[in-house]
Amino acid sequence: MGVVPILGEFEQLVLIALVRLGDTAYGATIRREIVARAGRPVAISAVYTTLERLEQKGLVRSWIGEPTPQRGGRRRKHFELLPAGARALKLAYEAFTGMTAGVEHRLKAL
Amino acid sequence: MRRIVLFLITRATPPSEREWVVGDTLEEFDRVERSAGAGAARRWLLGELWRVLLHAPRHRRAVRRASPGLPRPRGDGAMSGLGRDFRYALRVLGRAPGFTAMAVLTLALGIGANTAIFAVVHAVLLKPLPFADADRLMLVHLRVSEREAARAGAREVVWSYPKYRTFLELQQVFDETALFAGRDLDLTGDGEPERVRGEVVTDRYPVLLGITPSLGRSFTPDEGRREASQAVALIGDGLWRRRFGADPGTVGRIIQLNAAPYTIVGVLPRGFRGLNGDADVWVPLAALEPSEMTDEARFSHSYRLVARRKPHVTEQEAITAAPVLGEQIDRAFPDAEPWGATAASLDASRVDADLRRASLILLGAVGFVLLIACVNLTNLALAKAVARRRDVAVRMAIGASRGRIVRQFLAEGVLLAFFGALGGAVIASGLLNSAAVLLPASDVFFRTPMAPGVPRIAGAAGLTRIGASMIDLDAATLLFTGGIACVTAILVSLAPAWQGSALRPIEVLKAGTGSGSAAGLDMLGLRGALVIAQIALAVLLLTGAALMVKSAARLQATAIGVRPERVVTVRVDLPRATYTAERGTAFQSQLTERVRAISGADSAGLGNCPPVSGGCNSTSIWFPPAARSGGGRDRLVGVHWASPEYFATLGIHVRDGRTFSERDRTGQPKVAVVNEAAARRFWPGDSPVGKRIAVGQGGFHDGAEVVGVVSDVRFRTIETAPEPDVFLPLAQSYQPRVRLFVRSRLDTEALVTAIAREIHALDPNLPLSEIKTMEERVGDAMWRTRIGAWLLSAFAALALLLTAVGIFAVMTQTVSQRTPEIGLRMALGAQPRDVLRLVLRRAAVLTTIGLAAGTAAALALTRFVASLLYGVQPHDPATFAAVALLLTIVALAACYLPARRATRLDAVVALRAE
Repeated sequence: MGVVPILGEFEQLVLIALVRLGDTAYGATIRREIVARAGRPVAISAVYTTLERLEQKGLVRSWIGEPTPQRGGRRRKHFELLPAGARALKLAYEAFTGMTAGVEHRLKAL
Repeated sequence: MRRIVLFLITRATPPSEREWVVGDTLEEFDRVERSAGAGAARRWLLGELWRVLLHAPRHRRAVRRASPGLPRPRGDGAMSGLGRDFRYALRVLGRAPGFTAMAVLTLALGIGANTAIFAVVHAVLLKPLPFADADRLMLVHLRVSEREAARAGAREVVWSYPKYRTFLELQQVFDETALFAGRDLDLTGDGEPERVRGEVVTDRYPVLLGITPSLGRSFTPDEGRREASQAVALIGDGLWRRRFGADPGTVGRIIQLNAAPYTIVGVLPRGFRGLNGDADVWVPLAALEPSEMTDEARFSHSYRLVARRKPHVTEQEAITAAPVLGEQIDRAFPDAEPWGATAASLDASRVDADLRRASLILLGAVGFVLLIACVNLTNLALAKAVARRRDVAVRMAIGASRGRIVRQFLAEGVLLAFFGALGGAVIASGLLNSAAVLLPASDVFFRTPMAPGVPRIAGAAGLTRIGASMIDLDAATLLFTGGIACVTAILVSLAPAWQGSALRPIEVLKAGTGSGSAAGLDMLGLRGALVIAQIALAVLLLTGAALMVKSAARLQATAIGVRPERVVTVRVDLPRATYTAERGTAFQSQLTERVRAISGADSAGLGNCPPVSGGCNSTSIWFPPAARSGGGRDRLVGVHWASPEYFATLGIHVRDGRTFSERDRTGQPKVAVVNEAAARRFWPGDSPVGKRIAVGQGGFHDGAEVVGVVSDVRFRTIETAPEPDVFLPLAQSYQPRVRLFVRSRLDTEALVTAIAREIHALDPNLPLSEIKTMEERVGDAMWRTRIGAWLLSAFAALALLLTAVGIFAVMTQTVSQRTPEIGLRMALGAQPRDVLRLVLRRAAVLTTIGLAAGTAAALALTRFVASLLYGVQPHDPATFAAVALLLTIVALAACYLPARRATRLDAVVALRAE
C-alpha cells in the first residue's frame, strides 16, 4: 500500500469532479464541472495535464472511448478514480473538513 | 476564425493528446453556441485559445515526463525545419521592407569596403609569390653604415658585379644566385620607337625563379660571359603580343635596344614581369653593361641579388651566414669602408614595412566599420524584437523550442548577410574598378616612403609592384567575403536571438499589448551598451582619420622648393651608342632652344632628376686644396645636373651669386651651384660664392668654383627635409638621361604634342617617356598619405553616420518608453527644460562613456599609425579634442528629434498611454 500522496488544490478539484461524474467523466465534462462549480476558467489542456500526473501516481486510470459524430469523429478519453485516488481524496477532504469544523460561518463571512 | 483557432490549439497540444483535446474543445464550443449563441461561443473559443497557449509548455512537459521514450516532435529536427526557417525569415524581412533595405545596404557598404581592402591586402601581402620554391628565395643585400644610410636612404644597398663574384666564391648556403636590376631601354627598328622597361640580369635568373620560356629558350651560360659572341634578349608575353602580334617567328629576330642589336631567343610566359614587376625585356648583364663586369667597376653598385637556399639550409641559417659573408667580402676590398651584408626572404621583402602597415591599418579600420554596422543592425533588430515579442511568445507557446527561436533569428541574420555580401561584392568590384582609374602608375607605388626622416632609395625596400590590374576579386577574396558574411550573420542575430529565446512566453502574453516594461528596460541597457561600443569605435576611426587628414594637410602645406604649377616634365634619354658627349650636349642645347621657341612656352630647362620623385644621385665632395679623405669618410651631397634655365623654369630662387649661364660650357672654368642646406653645412656663417669644391662625379674631381647659392628643393620625398645638394652645369658635364622641364601657358596635351614634334625634328628615333606635369609628380609623392586620409575619412564618416543612427534609435525608444513617466512629471509641473534634461541625461551618459572608452582605445592604438603620419604626433591633443567635440555635436544632433518630441508631449495624452 505505500504512502498516500498529498494532493494539490487543482488535483482535488479534478478528483472531486470524477466522483461527481462517475461513468460520464471525460475531459470536457470534467472541465465543465470545475468551471461551473468552482468558477474557474481552466484550459482543457490544464485538465489533461493534471489527469496525466494523477494517472502516473496511480490515482486514476483512463481509457479511450468510441468516436462520436458531434466531435468530428474524434474519440473521448475517459477517466476513473482508483482506490488509491479515493484514499488520497478522502484524506484531503478529512483534512479540509477537520480544519474548517466549527468555523464554517466565519469562513463564509470572509 | 474557428478553424484558425482550432489549428493553433492543435499545434499547441502534444500530438498524442490532440484527438481528445480538440474533441473536447469542439464539444464545448457546440454546447456554448447552443446555450448562449454564436458570439458567446466565439468569445469562449478565443479565451480557450489563450488559456491553452499559456498552459502549452507545461502540458508538453507533462506528456514528455509521462512517456519519455517518445521521439521529440518532428518540427524540432535540425534539417527538416531549415527550409521553413528561411521561408519564414524571408516573410519576416519582406514585411519590413524599410528595415530590410537599410540593413542590406548597411551590410553591403561594410562588406563591400572590407572586400575591396582585403583584395588589396591579399594582392600585396598574402598571395604566394609565383616562383618555383618561392619559400627558399632570398634577397642578399650589402649593408652600409648608419651614417651612409642617412644619405643613401636605406642600409640595404645594391651590389657591384666584382663584389658579387667574390660572394659567389665564398658562399655555401645558396644553390642558385642571380643579379638583376631594372632598366629603361629604347626599343627601335621594327616599328615605332618606344621606351620599354627591362631587366638586366645574369644568365641563371630565369632558371632560379623557375620561369621556363613559353617559346624559344632561356639564356645559355656562354651568353652570361663578357666575351659572349652575340647579344641576346628574352621578351615578355605582353610585348610579344603587342609589338610582334604573337608571331612564333619572333624568336630569332633581331631588335635594337639602346641602338644596339639583340637577337630574341625566347618569350617568357604571360604574367611574368620580373622581380621589378614591370619588365618586358630581359638582357644579360654581359651584353648590356659589360664594363660593369671589370674590376674597375668594383664600387659601381647597381644590382640586386636574389638567391635560392640549398634545400637543407634554413632561412635563419642563411640570415646568420650573410654578415659573415659580408665581412669576408669587405676583406677582399680593403680600400673601402667596410659595409657588411644582410639577407631577407623574398616573401618578407615583397613590400616595404610602411605599405604593409598601411594596408593592415586600413583593413583594421574597415573591419571596425563593419563592426559598427553590425552593432547598428543589432540595435535596430533589438528594437524590432520588442515589437516581435508577442510573435515569438506565441511561437514558443505553440511548440517552438528555444533552439528553434534562435535558429529563426539566425536565419534572418544569414539572409541579411547573404544579400549584404552580394551587394558587397558588387560594391567591391565597383570600388576596385574605380581604383584602377585612380591609382597612379605602378612605379610610384613603392617610391614614396611615408615616415619622416626614414627616406629610402626608390624601390630598395619594396619589391613587388602592384598595379590595379593585379588586384581583383579572386577566389581567396570571395572566400574572405563569405567568411565575414558568416561572422556578420552571427553578430547581427546573436543579441535578438538571445533576447528572444530568453523570453518567458507567459509573462509576455499576460502583459498584453504593452512592450513589457521590466524586460524592456533590460533591453534598453543592452542597447545602451551597444551605443557606447559604437561611439567608442567611431572615436577610434575618427581619430585615425583626423590624424591622417592633418598629415596630408601638413604635407600639402610643405614647401617643396619649386613652383609646380604649369610645369610639364618629359624624359629624354639619348642612347650612348649614337650620342657621344659632344653630340649629346649639342642636341640638348638645340632642344631647349627649340622648345623655348614654341609659342606659349615661357621657359624650358633641363635637369637630370625631378623634384619629389626620389632616385637622384649622391656623391662625395671635398674642398681643394684639401685632398679627398677617401675610405668612405667623405662628406656626402646630392648631385644634380642642370641647364641654365632649369632654376628659373622650376621657380628655384637664387640666394647668392648667380646660376649657370651660356658661357659655362666645356673648355671654360668649371663652376657649380650649391643649395642653402649645403651652404649652411659646409660654410657656416660664410658665403660659399667664390670657394672651390671638388665633386666625386661628373668629371669634377679637380674642383670647381661655387658661383651661386639657390633655395632648397625637396628632391627625395615631400617628407624628407632638404639635404646639401650640388648642381653641375650639363654643358660642362654631359649626362645622357635628362628631363625637360617646360613652363608654359598651353594645356598639357598641346604642349606635349609640340615638344614631341621638336624632339622628332631633331631625332625621329627618340621616344618620349614619363610625360607628367610637375603637379602630378607632387600628387604622386603625396599619394599614399592622401589615399590613406581619403579612405580613413570615408570609413570614419560612415562610422559617424551609423553611430548617429544608433544614438537616434535608442533615444527614440527611451522617450517612447518613458512617455508615461514624462507625462506624470509634466502633470506635476515639470517644465520642458526639465524634461529635456531628463532625456539628454541618458544621451550624455552614453556619449561620455563612449568617448572615454574610445579615447583610451585611440591613445593605445594610434601609435600604430605613427609611422604613417607627417608633422603630427599620434597623441595630438588638438586632434583628440576635435574628435570628441565632433562626436558630442553629432550625438546631440541625433538626440534632437526624440528630445523635442518628449518636451512637446501633452501630459494628458502621455498619461493615457499608461
